Amino acid sequence: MYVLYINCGGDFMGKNLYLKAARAERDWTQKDLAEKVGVSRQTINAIEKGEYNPTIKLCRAICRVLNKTLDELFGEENEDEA
Amino acid sequence: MKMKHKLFEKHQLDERQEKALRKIESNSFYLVFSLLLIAIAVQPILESHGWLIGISDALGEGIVLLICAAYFCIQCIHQNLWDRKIKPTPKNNIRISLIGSVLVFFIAFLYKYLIDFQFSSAIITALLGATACFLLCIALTTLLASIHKKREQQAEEQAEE
Repeated sequence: MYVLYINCGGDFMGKNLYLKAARAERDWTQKDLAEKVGVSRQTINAIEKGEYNPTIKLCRAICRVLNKTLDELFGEENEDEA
Repeated sequence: MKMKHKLFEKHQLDERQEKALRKIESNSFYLVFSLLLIAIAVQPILESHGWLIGISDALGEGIVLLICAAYFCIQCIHQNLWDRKIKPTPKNNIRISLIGSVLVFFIAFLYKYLIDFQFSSAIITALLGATACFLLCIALTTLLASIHKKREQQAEEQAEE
């Protein structure tokens, strides 16, 4: 279900405010999170702005680093649809 | 001890950048495909009217290659992409330019030698061609690398929302 939702096509999904909040909880910048996950800062920025739809692999890596579940960061009810 | 060949080293692009690069490569393929089709259709018509006399047989293909190379470069610069493995350093730029100039040397040598079978004039032509190619490649790669680095720096300095 997560795979179907997360990779459901289209690059614009609406801002991911829960990811931003989870990052802010730990007082991390986008660059800090990007370094821990192994991607560029622009990628984290694009995910938070809803401009990029990450793969399940990247979603899991972000969740692991932030100690959150997939549901909490990327679940359907967390979408902020414009 | 594990010996890892440079070709199999980790890519320097993350998944989003890789996706962007693949899209550029895909678009470039369709561009080459369609432009070559046009060139193949148009060139015989121009030749039959005598408009291409004295001009290289590979003019159409050369134009297609230039257009696609320009598209690829512009799109990669726009997306802040360079290469999957090679970084835009002066050392790498020199290496790439040397490879290109060596290829040009051999092609120019063969081309000239097969025309008049004069070894010395073929060598001189090949050396001139290779030198011109090297200088052009170095200039272009250095310019593109500096634009890329500037854009990367601007993207990094961009304030977080």
